[in-house]
Amino acid sequence: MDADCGFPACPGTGGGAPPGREPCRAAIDLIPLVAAGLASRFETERVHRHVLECPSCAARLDEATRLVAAIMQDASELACPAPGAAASAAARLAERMRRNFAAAARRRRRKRLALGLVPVVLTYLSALATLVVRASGKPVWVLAAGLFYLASSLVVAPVLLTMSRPTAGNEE
Amino acid sequence: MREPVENKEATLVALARAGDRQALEALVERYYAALRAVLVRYGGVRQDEVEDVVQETFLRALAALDRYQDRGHFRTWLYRIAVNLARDKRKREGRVVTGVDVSALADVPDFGSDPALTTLGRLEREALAAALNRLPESQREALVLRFYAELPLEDVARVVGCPEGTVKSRIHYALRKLRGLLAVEYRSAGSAVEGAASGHALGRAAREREEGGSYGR
Repeated sequence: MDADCGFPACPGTGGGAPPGREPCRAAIDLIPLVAAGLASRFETERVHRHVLECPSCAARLDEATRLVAAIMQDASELACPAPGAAASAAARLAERMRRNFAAAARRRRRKRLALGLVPVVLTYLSALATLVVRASGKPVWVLAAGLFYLASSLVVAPVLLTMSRPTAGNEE
Repeated sequence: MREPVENKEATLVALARAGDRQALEALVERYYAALRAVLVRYGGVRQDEVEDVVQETFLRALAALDRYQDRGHFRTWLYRIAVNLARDKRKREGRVVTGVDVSALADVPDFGSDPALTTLGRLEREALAAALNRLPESQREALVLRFYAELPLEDVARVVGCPEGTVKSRIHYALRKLRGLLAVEYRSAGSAVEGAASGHALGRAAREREEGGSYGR
């Protein structure tokens, strides 16, 4: 191996290295990253200097470069949709978002309606309780029914206030 | 230069979420092709369902953006959702090896005789797809995001949630492994494939490796 290439001589698999020349493990380890354009400038220069002197590493670099080029080619061909495909996808997406928004708004309305029924039911129950208690004629029960009515209104009021706030966004 | 682009994108995203049709179209135009490529090569999505998964990706990304802390990077959020969807599908339905939809390529420009731009042969593409499918998940994910989504290393790291150095090393191992897997693909495909692919890059790479190349071992 050339003394200037910057890699320590590495004993190991002979691979395609010519007789008398030891393969360079450090260069071999860097080759995929150099081919992928992910090595630093320093590492890339070291590998390029090395392959000038080492035919088997030059072949490895060439092979790795071709593999990366094939991947990039595959990527560019896959990412080449029929004309107008993106626009029609956007149109369908807009329609789905609109439908989702409408469905979410419907669900919110239903929930609000259900919660709105709560005070009506509670009022009805307390009125019924008051009638029953009046019929029995005990003032303590009349007071209890009144308190129950007041308490139920206090519980329901904040719920109604929360529900009446406008909700933003179209997310589910 | 980067920041204004991201600001512009944040504006587009906000408008799209508020129902602006043009903003939505601009976002879809920007990511549609790369998202398809990522979903197909990740290996869990069939060609005939890729459109639906692209739609699902956009819907989820736009709907759940509030849950994403790094909102300035819509792109990484979008790819994270795409990768998660593909991974879930892959777990549910097993791996899917897909070539390319020929009808979708009807209008690919003719690159002529420039060897650097020659389109891949069908067999080469299938061998590459099959080899990618056999990579460990973390390596395939890093490779697909780097080359098919063309994300810079920094953004791949954001999507997969690990340091850039880890992503780099995953891509490194992925390329080494791919090289070995491609040789196996060609060997197992037999002489017909070998003959048909003989003029192409991957065919040559596989043959030369069998003749004595050794990196990646």
